[in-house]
Amino acid sequence: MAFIEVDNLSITLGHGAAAQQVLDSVSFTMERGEVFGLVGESGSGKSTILRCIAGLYGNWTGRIAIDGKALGPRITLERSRLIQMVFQDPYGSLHPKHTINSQLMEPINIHRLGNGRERIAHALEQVGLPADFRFRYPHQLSGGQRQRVAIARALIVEPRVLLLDEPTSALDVSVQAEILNLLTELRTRADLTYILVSHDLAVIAHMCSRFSVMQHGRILETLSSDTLDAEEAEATDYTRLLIRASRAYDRALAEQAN
Amino acid sequence: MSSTPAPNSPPGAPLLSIRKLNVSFGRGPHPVRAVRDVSFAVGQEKVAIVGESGSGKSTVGRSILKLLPRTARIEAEEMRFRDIDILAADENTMLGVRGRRISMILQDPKYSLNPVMTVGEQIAEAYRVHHKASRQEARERALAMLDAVRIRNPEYVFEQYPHQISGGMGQRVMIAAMLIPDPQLLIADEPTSALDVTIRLKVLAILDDLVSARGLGLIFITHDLNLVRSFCDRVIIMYAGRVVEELRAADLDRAQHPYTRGLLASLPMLGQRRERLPVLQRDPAWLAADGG
Repeated sequence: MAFIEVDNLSITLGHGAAAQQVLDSVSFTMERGEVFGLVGESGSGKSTILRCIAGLYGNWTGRIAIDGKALGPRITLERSRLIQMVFQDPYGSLHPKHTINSQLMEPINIHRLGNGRERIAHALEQVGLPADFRFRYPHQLSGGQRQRVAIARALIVEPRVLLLDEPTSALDVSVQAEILNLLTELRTRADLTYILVSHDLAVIAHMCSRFSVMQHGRILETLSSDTLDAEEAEATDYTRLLIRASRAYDRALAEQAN
Repeated sequence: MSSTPAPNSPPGAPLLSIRKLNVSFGRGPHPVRAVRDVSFAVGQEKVAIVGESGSGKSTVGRSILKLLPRTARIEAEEMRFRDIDILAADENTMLGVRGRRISMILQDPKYSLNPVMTVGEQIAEAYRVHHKASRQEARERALAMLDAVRIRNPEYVFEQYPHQISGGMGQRVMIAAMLIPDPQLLIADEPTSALDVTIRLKVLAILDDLVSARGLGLIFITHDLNLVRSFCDRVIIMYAGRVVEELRAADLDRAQHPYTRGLLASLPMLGQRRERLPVLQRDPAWLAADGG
């Protein structure tokens, strides 16, 4: 049985004339310990899938199940123990006036976990930050260090699933490599399953065993990273364009982009 | 057109030549030295300046137009654009250079377009600031320019406000506004970083065509090494305010400097999966090394 099942997930956001179907019958399944990718351009609905799984929208339809258990529409304490999310912008996702310690303490208090000090020390160690960073404020950290804190905050409740929404697109390439390596390492060490959203096909193909290409709220197709070269020939026009545009700039290719 | 120039000499007479440019911010005993001894020349070609945040690449771009805050100190042995000594030029001369002879495209059209003016008027204004022309003539030129950046319905888009158009279209409007005064050198600072892959492709193709059709020089400031490889003619790599390496874009894979090699290695690449990405090991010696 698949570890995560998403079946016929649809959602409409906005009211009346402004209503827009953001996701249209999205389905995929993934195994425990897998890294599954969602790639597409802005507005294709990839982040919305993560937000539905996390329970940040209440009005989706369809079925989302983890480990055989169907999830309700909204976020609950139990669900946030199971699933945590890491956002794109480490500058925006940490409170600028709270120390790292108090931000990491928050999930511990919410979930009444106890052993705050030890948990925080362990989480910082897991993401490769020195223990005394807990006394710092976000502005005293670099972008990469902040993203490590955001990952530590997600890990502190010992979730099974991490939803990664463009976790490295605000970072320099050398820092991106460090964060991607950290995520790879943590997955085996902490027995995690990832869903990774990115607009960068190279990042997706590096991290994920399989990924779905999204356009206009639908999954166009699901490909395997290892056989990408072979599958390129059979892929849809849009996917082929995405693959080639990610490889290099090509003047002739621009004519195909409508 | 241009055959294969040696890395350090641009084709034809250089449009821009810079020798030992230094930019520092702040007074007192310890000013921040953002740019250190940077030298390069640009002809009718596409030159990339690549570096990570804080490498000084944008500061170099802005100092060419003297668009730095007052706390900045610009020093150089030479900074010349054609017949103009930029270093010695007063504000009045610079007003005739900015936009008219050297123009700049920034990353995000959302912030660089005036939100309360139609995009067409902004393009027409860019023309009227530098050329004596009637409103009607400027409008016609703006429409022609919108057409040149491949906007399908110029008459319609002319009347739109910036919030009514998409990011990709906004960037094409910016390019139109920057090219309408007919400059000779274009500085593009991360012009496509905020755009989706397919839109980016289209905007780059437009830049590419216009640069070759008009014989412009292009300074393309970016962090995207992979893009530079296929889009530009030459690449200048900056680290901590210095030029650490300069080479032809086609030779990027034969880069010598450990920083360049480290950056390239740390990029995830399609078609070659690796368990771990090599992480850049910064060597303090790079800070002391002589650039170029």
